[in-house]
Amino acid sequence: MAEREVSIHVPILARVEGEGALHLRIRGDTIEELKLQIYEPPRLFEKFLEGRSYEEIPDMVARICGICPVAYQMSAVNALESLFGVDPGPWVRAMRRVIYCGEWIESHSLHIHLLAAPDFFSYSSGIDMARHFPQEIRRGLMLQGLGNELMRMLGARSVHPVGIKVGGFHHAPHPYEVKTMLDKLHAAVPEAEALIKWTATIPVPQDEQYFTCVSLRHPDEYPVHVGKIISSSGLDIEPPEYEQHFAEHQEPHSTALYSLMQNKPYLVGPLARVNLNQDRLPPQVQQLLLQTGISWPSRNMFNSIVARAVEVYYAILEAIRLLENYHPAEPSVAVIPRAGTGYGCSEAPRGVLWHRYEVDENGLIVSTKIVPPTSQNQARIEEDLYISLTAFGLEHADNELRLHCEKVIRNYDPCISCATHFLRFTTERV
Amino acid sequence: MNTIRIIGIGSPFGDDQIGWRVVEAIAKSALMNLLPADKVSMYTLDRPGISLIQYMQSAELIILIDAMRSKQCIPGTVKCLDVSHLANVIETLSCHGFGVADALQLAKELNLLPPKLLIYGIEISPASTITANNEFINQIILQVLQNLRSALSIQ
Repeated sequence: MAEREVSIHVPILARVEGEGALHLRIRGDTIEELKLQIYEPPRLFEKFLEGRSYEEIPDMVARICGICPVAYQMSAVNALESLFGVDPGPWVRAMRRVIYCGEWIESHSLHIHLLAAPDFFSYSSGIDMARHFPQEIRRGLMLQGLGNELMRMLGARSVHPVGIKVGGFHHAPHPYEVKTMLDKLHAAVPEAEALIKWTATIPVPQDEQYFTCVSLRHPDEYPVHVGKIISSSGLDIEPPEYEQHFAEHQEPHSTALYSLMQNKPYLVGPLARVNLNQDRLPPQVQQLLLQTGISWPSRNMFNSIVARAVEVYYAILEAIRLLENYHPAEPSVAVIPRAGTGYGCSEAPRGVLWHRYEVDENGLIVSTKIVPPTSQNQARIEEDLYISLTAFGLEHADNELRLHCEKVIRNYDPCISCATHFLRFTTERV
Repeated sequence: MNTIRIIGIGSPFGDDQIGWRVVEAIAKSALMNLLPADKVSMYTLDRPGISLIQYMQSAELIILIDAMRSKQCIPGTVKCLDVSHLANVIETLSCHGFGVADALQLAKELNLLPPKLLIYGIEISPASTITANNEFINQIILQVLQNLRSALSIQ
């Protein structure tokens, strides 16, 4: 019998942010080659920041991504404030958490309804799905709009917000704005509960794998904007220790760097966060989590859609908690830059986002390193594809294999634009 | 939000700003006398993606102006479009692949489009420099204003 050779090339991955492709070669019953090709042009942000003032950094790094700008700003201010010895105070910390909740709500709602859910109902797009699930898609758009509005309240706009600065915010919302926002958040609570219940009923493949989860951890709260770095394999470190345990390298087929922890792939993102921090969720969120019927911590990446829904609910409740007794305050503290190296982390919607800044005595950036969640997940995505395709069955028709690959990749909600800003760049002039 | 919304869509990159420039010109023009002042809101949006749908809700009239590029692209051409014209648009500049065309298609499926929607696409190309040429851009603005005056007078 002739050996089957399958070569599947997905030239453009649909329903992911940015540009990537997948190349797969199967010989007989073996995957001979599998490459997740990121060909989004490198955008070289790490070089752009050199020589800029620390004051410009929040606005500049926000432009790395249109979907998760707050995450970049937050990791940046965490790093710079840790270096400068700045404590912005409880009001700023609370409001930073609020704006970040807005970003989680907006990003997760978009992904659940328009990127991931169509896969599980065999629709080619959210537009096609809207014809038969109008109520669900409308709910998703409402929640996404709510997240955007929360971001605008503190950031002046939802795309590349301009409200965050080193030391705090440029502006404190008026109590009337907050009251209006609170009313909308309260109205959204039953919708978020319904969202969890709906995502838990969506039929997904049962594809359990062993993988290491990495997330932030905080003594008191579900990790959003600050924390230590932990893993399901026992890692427990502070942000400055990151490079002692994680290392990046480039593969020839990708413009985005790969990241390994002690030479192994690992997972960051909502599933990792829920897996590692279930005990930090409020009781009503934990209750709904248990009612999903999923055994947590979950080893099935297809449960990520439920993890995102849980985080939408959590973010709404957390924003309510933080805004309920709102009072305007001085939105920022004074900052005096100093030379040295600062490290900062936060939990972007897609996972841990780590920044390092070397700064001179004038507050100018000397060097930068930014490690986005999507680059951290690249190796895990390829590992997942190997395992998942083998379990799915390589005898499936090419089109079925391709669709399965795309579903696996979309579980990670990769943000490819974020992953391609940091290619090392050298020139030689002769 | 008021129920009549004039929305310029664009980005800071080259001629993709043209929607913004046209809306700014409309705001200063005599065309505004055709519309009830207390019902009109104007917006310049930077790559709103799917969030554009939120601007549709509860509107009675929306005027949308954006840069576009078609196969027959002649930079500076003003086209009056219908949502059905946008069904096969290939979006290349949008987050998560959701651009204006996708947002309008989704709004249509969800019955969220306003009763009256006027869409103006202004052809640009990667090499065009319309927004750097005052004379050229004024011609385009004049054409859009004439089209709008005609469209609004018919209502």
